[in-house]
Amino acid sequence: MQLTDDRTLNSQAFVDRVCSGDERAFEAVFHAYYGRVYSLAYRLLGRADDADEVAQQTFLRLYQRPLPPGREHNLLGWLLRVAGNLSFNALRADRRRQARETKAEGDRPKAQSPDEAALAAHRAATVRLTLAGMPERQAQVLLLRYQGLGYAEIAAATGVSPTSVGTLLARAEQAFEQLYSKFEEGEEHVHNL
Amino acid sequence: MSTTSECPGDGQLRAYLDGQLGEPERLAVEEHLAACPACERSKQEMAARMGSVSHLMAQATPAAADAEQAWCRFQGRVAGPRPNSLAWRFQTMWHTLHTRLRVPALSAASIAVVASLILVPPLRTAAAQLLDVFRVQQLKVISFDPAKAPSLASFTDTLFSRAEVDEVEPQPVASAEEAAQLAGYAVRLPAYVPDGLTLEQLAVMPQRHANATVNVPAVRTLLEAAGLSTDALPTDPDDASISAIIPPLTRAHYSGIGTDVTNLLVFQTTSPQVSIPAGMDLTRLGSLGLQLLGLWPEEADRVSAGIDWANTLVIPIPSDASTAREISVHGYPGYLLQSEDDDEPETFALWQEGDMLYSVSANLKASEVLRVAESLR
Repeated sequence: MQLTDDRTLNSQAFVDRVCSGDERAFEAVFHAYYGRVYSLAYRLLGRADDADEVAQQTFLRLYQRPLPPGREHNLLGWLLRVAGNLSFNALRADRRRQARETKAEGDRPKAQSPDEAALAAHRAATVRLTLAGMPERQAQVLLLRYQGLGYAEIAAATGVSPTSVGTLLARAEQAFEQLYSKFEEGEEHVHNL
Repeated sequence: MSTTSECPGDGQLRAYLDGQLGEPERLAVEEHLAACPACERSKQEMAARMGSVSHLMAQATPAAADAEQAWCRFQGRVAGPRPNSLAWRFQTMWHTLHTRLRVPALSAASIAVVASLILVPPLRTAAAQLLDVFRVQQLKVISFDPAKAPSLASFTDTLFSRAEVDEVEPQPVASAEEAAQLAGYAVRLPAYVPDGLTLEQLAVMPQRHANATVNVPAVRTLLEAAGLSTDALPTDPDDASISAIIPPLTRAHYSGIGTDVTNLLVFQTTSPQVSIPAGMDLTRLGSLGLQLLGLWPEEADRVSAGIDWANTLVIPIPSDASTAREISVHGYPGYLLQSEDDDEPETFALWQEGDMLYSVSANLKASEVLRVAESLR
């Protein structure tokens, strides 16, 4: 598969090809963006198979119902937003299921291991809990930014005005830091999310 | 504070740190920071927070994903290769039925699915030379429990060893009149569509021929594995071909972008004509098809006896994924199918008026879809 550069991927002509169902263009988009879509889902879900499922569903949507051609679209922004929504849906469904099963213990990792790998895994899981526990809009903006989207792209993907992206991000990071510290201090429990 | 300019807000500082400000704005912030220790402190705090959040987010980054492998999985998920765009879009009606409402598809992404859906029962081909012709005169939705139909997926995957459909290009048209000239029937468009939706495209897919060969050995194996009788299967492979004339299909695509993309599709066509060998015991074969859907033999016999298989388009829908209810559009009977997916509902209205088959589908509420259907003029 030939890699397609960002400039090509963002050109109106190329976006139009994807939107009118061009197979090769779609494949190029898949290859170019799968990693980022997967990575976003993974940050929220923490499991490779769940993240792949969300990524697959995300691309399936673009495949089955392409965006209308002849208009400006930011494909990466759209894909990441859909992936974010699907991930949050999956989290909600998971929580509902956990609630039904009255599961007292979540999969919150224990922090006692001094091992570096275990510590990293613990941090990753806490990041996931933090993102899941934040207001969805803030978490979305944070995820999009850390997938490398610029403010204009974030604005297009989420529907907020470009001038408020910075403010949203600043607030989101504050919220992230506070909630993350709470989890680290063990004040919150996974089933309270 | 000893500055002449107003202190920048958090958002502006954040954008400054991200390099997302225009040059004059960036310079203004820079100048202000140099003169305002309080803001400089805020900036440093913010930068430290960014660093720590960025570090933590990086911890939750997965190992690099293998896009090539994912692409292979993706291709396995979408039925068959994706034909050229317009032609593909024409299949959306059946594609939607298959993927969103999980109606079993009997062949790859092809409009031959229409014929296939009809052709579950007539597997048997008698030695007779004369052909009967199938025409859709009524619709019937049968709900089934996928848990009780474990062999259905493999059955539908292997039903045909060969399926060919004429490759023709859909013709975009400018008006319903132009569409009618190409299609050979009056083309109707909705007088009502929800706010924000506009007509993206109107096009006609010309008439096509389809031929398919039933994969008798595979079907035999599957039927045996499912504990069903195989005596209705033909012994001569030459008897296993079926052909269909797929009449011109007109498609109107409306779309709109709000917080999500809304797509509304209006399809209209006359009934496909499917040639099937004469003298087949359709009721018996119909019962077999229903048993594959998980009905008990006695129940399947009873339901099958009540269906005019030569003229009924039977649409099996899985009870866990979709619901169906009978509706009336312009006084004609039809069905409203809905996906059970709360997060992205799909509604599909299908009905028949005389020789014409209509469908309206959209990711909209049932009431909206019905209103569009009723407004066809």
